[in-house]
Parts: sequence; structure tokens; C-alpha cells
Amino acid sequence: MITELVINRFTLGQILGSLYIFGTFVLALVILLLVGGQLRTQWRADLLNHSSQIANRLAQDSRLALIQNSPENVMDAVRMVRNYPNVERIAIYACNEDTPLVGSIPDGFKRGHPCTDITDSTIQESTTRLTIATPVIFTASPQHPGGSGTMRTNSLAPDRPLGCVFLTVSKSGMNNAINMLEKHLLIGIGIAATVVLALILLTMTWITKPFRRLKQIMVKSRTGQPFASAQVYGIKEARAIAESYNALMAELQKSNYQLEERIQERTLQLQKASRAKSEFLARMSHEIRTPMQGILGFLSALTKTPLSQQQTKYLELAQASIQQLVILLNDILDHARIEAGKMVLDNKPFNLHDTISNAAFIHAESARKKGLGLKIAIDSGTPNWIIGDAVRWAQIVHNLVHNAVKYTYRGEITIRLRRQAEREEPHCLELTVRDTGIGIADQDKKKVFQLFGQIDGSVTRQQGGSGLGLANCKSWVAAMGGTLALESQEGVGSTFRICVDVVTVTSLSAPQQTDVNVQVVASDETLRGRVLVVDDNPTNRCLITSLLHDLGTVVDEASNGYEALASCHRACYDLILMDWRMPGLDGIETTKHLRQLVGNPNRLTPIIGITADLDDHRDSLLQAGMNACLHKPLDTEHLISVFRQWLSIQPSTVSHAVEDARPASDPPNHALDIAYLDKNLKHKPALLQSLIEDFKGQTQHSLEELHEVLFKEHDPNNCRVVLHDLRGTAANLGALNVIQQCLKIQATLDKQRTIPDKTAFFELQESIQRAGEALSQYRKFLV
Amino acid sequence: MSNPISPLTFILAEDNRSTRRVVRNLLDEYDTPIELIDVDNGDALTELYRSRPPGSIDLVILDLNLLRTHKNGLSGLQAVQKLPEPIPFIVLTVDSTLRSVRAALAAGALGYCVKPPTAENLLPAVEVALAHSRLQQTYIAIGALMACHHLTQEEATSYVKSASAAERRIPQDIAQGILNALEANRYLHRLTPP
Repeated sequence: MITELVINRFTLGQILGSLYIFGTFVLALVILLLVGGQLRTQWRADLLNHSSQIANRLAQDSRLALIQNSPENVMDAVRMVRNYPNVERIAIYACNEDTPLVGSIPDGFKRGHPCTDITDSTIQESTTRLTIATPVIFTASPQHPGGSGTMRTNSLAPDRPLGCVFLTVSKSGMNNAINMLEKHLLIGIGIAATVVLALILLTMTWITKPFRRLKQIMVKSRTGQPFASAQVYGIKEARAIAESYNALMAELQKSNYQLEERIQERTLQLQKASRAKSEFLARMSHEIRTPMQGILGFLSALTKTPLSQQQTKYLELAQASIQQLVILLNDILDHARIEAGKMVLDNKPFNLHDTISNAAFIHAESARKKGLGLKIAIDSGTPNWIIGDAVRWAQIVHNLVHNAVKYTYRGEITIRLRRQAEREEPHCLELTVRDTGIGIADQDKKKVFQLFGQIDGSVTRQQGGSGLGLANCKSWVAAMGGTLALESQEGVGSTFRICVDVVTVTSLSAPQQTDVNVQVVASDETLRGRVLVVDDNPTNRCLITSLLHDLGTVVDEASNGYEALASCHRACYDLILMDWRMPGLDGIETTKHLRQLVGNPNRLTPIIGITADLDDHRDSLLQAGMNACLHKPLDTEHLISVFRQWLSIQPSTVSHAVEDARPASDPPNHALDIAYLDKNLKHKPALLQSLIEDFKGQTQHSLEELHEVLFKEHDPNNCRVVLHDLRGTAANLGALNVIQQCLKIQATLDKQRTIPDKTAFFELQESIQRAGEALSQYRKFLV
Repeated sequence: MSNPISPLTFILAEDNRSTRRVVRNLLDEYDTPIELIDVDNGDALTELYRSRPPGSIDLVILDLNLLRTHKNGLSGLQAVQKLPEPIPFIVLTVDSTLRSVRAALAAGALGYCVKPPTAENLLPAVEVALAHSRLQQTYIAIGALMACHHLTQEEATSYVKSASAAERRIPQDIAQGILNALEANRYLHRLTPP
């Protein structure tokens, strides 16, 4: 456990290194101890042996001197012994003599007659020296055959000790030698250990390198960087680990990639499906509303022609039917929009009082015909200008009042708007629509808000309708964050109550839209002015044209954007009605051209967009420079009121022309130089085609390059080169806007000597994209 | 050039592909067939010009910013100015400032055409440049005559005019002939051992 704890803290190198150092230390210690001890023993034995031999010889040699008691006899031998290494001191004593014959008594031997108790060789040892005492024994052995007669006559007994020889040998030589040896040994071990350590460290580094690399790569891939495969090298284990890591990561990446691919595929499918659905809805909406528009308009136009009484009656019936159809259709399309989740509520200031009044007023006529009263009561304390979706409010009121009128046979319908609670922002408004109609039984109350829920589902039911109206209302109110409640008693009447929190317009964000009063123009009133109607559908065009003719205006027609642009160059209009969907240049593009084209007299002419689409393109239309937007099918009276509004607001045509001539200093800002294209490339479709392809390819390339030099290399000179090239490419196709943007960036570079910010780059990118689209459209239009 | 049926040889020194396409398309409409050689950088232009015999290139249409594909190479005008002899060239550029025009003229441009090239601006520029080039050739030929035969300018000019009248060819063709003859003479001299 503890080892694990300790081991876990250190790297392999550290652990192995410290183990090695410890091991080396122990090894050195053991070697020193063993070798030193062995040597010491060996050397001591040698010294002892050697010294004993010398002492013995000296003892033999000193026998005569002892016998004769003459030191001279032994001096030669003593001198010789002195010359031996390590010999420190020599002493020869005769028995029974107090003073030594030669030398002095060494330490450790008792004074007096040291020889008396020495009968055998005695060794006395200290740390520094060794003293050997050897008795000199007189032997009457035949080894001395040359002995003189006097000796033989001596009364000395054989084998009696004559004296003794002390030989002191120094151990310092031996010690020094051993120390020197140990020192050398230590140095040798040290050097060897260092070399081996270095080798080990090197090897260790070499071994652990692949592991470290692997670690780095793993850390990298953990921090989200793209997977880098580990290099397979080093020792077998490292290779195996790297290989398996690579394989693992590759597998992971592969599965990631597959997963991503699958997700993308799914997303694409979903998007495609969703787009197909939306497109279908939009197309259907357009397809249905367009002919409806024609029927509505021409029925209305028909009433102005001389008709027989019967014809008038039939016509009225037809108009009533078509009105019903329009309501039904709007319900269905609204429902489709809610279903598609495409319902986006506007958040714009509008006049609530007027919206409610106008929506209710539509039913005044039908109520009057049924003999019903229609009252609108708006409390004085209720806010008028609020922020919200005027169209939805109108639709809600419209639907509720429509229902009320439908199910009421006598009495009156009251629409009331008041504040529900006395509090400041957000105001809680309560809108009630009360009728004295047939009422709804309790058990049916839930049904009315259900889809297709009509109480009388039988074939014999009295009332028509899709059953979508109330359901739609409920969805809209819910989307506004409010509630729609029903109080009803069968036979007495019903009350629909809407409670919604609204934000009023503060003085700061005062309404900028003009209050569009739906003032019905008497049909005999004449309007003056010149109007251009741009619509690809001849029926629609004809309808609006005939209406405008009746109103007394001069009308020009254009069936597509290019014709419209051409007409706008020729004449100055007071109002332009522009369909959104057109082949070639669509309404938005045409409007943009008109607003941006210098020197065209219609730069400020009000343009009213007409759209039949389910999707709310209102914003994009207004952004393109349109002044207002109408939805198909167009209501004649609504149209007249719009005409009246715009034609009366801008009565003077001369002033525009003067104003327009002035902003010529504005740089040209339109996408394509149509005149240039018409003149130079219109009759060369093949060249045009390849130039457009070149344009798309080259501009893309140039943009990438520009991005590189602007934001990565920060190189103004290269930037100039790229811009120059881009300008050349754009000039070939009359893409004026692109040239314009290029010049803008170049001007920034030249004048301010700074790298332009990304906005300019994105503007350039956008202008290129626009030019590309416009070019494709231009070519398509030619084909 | 002396024979009106023989095709003209132009070099189009332009790095923008779409401009090359437009120029080629425009020159296809020219009444004389034109052999158009594309180069896309200054070095290539220099190399190409050197590899051709003198006088074989009738006109160079030169993009001023001939840098793109060869960033460290020569710009159009530098490339032209580095050539050993003056070449007939017109400048094709997106830059219409007076400064740029003057720089081009100072380098010896015979014409100036602002991009985008169209039938209205390129073809007249080409036509004028060709005429100027031929006129220059005539003056060179007259100068050569003066030098070779120790004539005054009037004498040389009148010789060319009379030759033109006698052979019923325009003076420019006569001048070209004289220059060709001089060229040939130079080669012949080179062939003879000293």
C-alpha cells in the first residue's frame, strides 16, 4: 500500500534512478568491506609469517652473541634485519641480564627479565605495530657440529633458553597500502557507477521517450485537437502501446466520422423534408391565392358594368361564395402556418383601437342584413398604440365577430375592450365579444376550440365553415401569451373573452408607421397619378390595371423585373405595385435596383409589394426598400384605400425627379451594369456562361486569398494585387457593386493605411454573392 | 506584317482568366486572323519575347498588374522595360487614373485600354497601336537607309515613297522590307569568315 503510494508519485526514471544509486552505494560498501577485510587478514598473515621467520633467524644468529655476551657477534645480523622493510625496532636480551644486549625493550613487555617467561614465540599486536618475541634456545643438537670444545665443556644444559629476540614490525606500511587500495577501489567504483548511471539515464530517456510522446499526443487529443497518430517506435512495449492507441483512435475517429456523416445525412434529410413541406405550403398558398385574386377582382369589376337584375343577383351570390371561400382558405392556410410552426408574431407598434374597429366593421354589413346590432365599446382608459401583431389581432376579432354574426339571429353583438386590472406595464387588456345567439351547451364548450369542431356535425347543420376559425384564434392568443375563454348559456348567448398582456408604445419609440385608415373611397372619386404595375401574372396585372383605370390614373404594366427597370428609366411614377414572385428579377431584387440605381427617376417612388406567400416576407420586402406590403388575394376596397393613401401622400411627381438628380454623387451601388451586359455579352451566351463560371470560381478563390492576406498575413501589397484582380474579373461582367466594394477596401488601405475590418470584407463577399446570383438570373432571363 | 493575309501574332500578358477569355473573344472578331499567345506573368513574357525572332511579335497586350500568379516576378511594365529592345504594346488595366496612364506611356505604351475590354475600347486601341508600330518601323527603316547610304532624311524618305509608288505597296511595307533586308544582311555577314 505504502509502496504503491510512494511509487505512484514518481516517474519511472526517478524510481529506477534512485534504486540504482542506492544499489550502487550498497554494492560499493559491501565490496569495500569484503575486500578490505580479506586483504587486511591476508596481509597481516603475510607480515606475521615474514616477521616470524626473520625473528627466528635472528634468534638463531644471536645465539653465539648471547652465549659469549658480546653484541658485536650479532650486529651484522641486526643490521641486516634492520634493512628489512617495516622493521621498526630490534631488541636482544640475554637471560638473567637486566640490560638488553642490543636495542631496548619494546612496549608491552615487562621490565626486568623479560625473557624469563618467554619460552615460545609470543606475539604482541597493537593497531600500528606488531612485536614478536622469540626465545633464543641453546640446543646441543648436531646441527652445530662445528661447536668448540669450550662450549661442550660448558656446564650449560641443552635446550635451555639463552635469551630472547624482540622484533617490532610497523603495520603502517600495510595500513597505508590497504587504504590506498581501498581509495583506488572506491574511485574505480565511483567512475564505473557514474558511467553506468549515465548509460542508464540515457537508456531510460530513450525508453521512456515514446511514452512521453504518446502522453503528449493523448493530452492533445483530449483537449479537443484533431487526432494525431502516435509514432510507432522505441521498445517493444512502447510500440505495442502506440500501435494499439493508433488503432483505437482510428477506430474512434472512424466511428465518429460515420456518426457525424449519419447525423449530417439525417439532418439533410430532415431539412429537405421540412423545406419541401414549407415550399409546398408556400407554393400552394401562392397557387391558390393568385386565381382567387382574379376571381375576386373581376367579380368586383363586373359589378361596375351594366348588368341585368338577374345578373346582379347572380353576381352577388358569386361574390358571397367567393368571400366564404376566401375566409375558408385563409383559415386553412393560417392553420397550415401554425402547424408548420411558422407562425411568427410581429412586434411592431400599431393602433389597437383602429385595428379592432376595422376588423369588426367588416361584419357591419352582414350584421345589418340580419337585423343585428353591432356595437364597439372601447374604454377610454385602454392604451391605443401597443406593440404586437396587428394582423393577428385583426384576424382574432374578425373570426370572433364572424362567428358571432353567424350564430346570432336576433339581438346584438357587443365588442368591448377594457383594462382588466389597474396596473402599469404590461397592461392587461380584456377583449370580449358578446352575442345573443344560440349559445353553446356546456358539454360542447370544449369542442368549439377543437380543430374542425363544429357543434352540429350533421349533414343538416345550418352553418357552414371549416371549424378552424376558433382553433386558430386560440393558437394565436396563446402565442401572444394570453387566454381565450368562453362563457355561454344555451339559448341566451355566448361571450368570448380574451385576456392578453400588452406592452404599450412609450413616447421614446413613437410609432413610425402612418396610421393606415381604411377609408373607403367612393367609386366615383378619381385619383391622379401614374402607376406602374409589375406582375408576371396577366390576370392580376389586368385586374389591378382595370381598377386603376377606373380610378382615373395612368397605368403602365411590366411583366417582370427587367421590364420594370426599363419602364422606370423611361418614366417617373407616383406609385409602383410590385409582385414579389417573378421570373428573372424578382420583386425584391427589382426594388433594390430601383432604390440603388443612380439617375433613375424612380429612386424614391413608393413601391408596394404584393405577396401571395404563406411565409411572411414582409420584412425582407420592406428591407429591400418597399414602402408597404399587401397580401393576396387583394381586396378591391383595400386596394383603393392604399392607392388613395400613397397617391395622395405623394402628389407631386416633379419634385422626385429633381431630388433624384441630386444624389448622383452617391457611388453606384447596384449589383449589375445591365446596360454593359446587354451591349457586350447579351449576344454571346457561350462567353457569358463561361465568364459567369469563371466569376464564381475566381471570386471564390480571390476571397479566400483576400481573407488570407488581410487577416492572416496583414499584407497590404498582396491585398492590392488580389483586389485589382477581383476588380478585373468583376469589370468583365459589369458587377459594379463588387468593384465598388473593392475600391472601398483599397481606399481604406491607401488612405488610412490600415487593414480594413471584417465588415468591409463581408460586404465584399455579399456583393460578390449577390452579383453571382444576379448574373445567373440575368443569364436565365436571356435563355 | 508585310503581307496582309498573314496572321498577326499577339501576346496577351494577362493573369486573369476571365479577362483572357473576353480579350480572346473580342480579337476573334478582328478582321485579320490573330495568333494570340497567353502568358500570365512578367518572366514568362520576357522569356517568350526573347525566344522569338525580332519583329515577329506584332503587339503585346499587357496587364499592368501582372503579378498575381508570380508574386515575386516582374510587374507588366517592369517586364517590358527590361527587354533589350522596345516592343509594341498596349496596356490593359482596370486602373483609369491619369497617373497610371502616364506611367504606361512613359514606358512606351502605344495604347491604353481600361478594363473591362469591349469592342469599343480594345479594338480601336489595338488598331491604333498597330498603325503606330508600323509608323515607327518606317522611321527606323528611313534611319537605317540614312546610316547605310549616307543620305539625308529627305532623300531617304523620298526613296521609300518612290519605292512605294513603284511597287504599289504602302510605305510601311517597303520599310518592313528594308528592315528585313538589313536583318538578312546582318546574318549573311555573320556567316562569312572574317
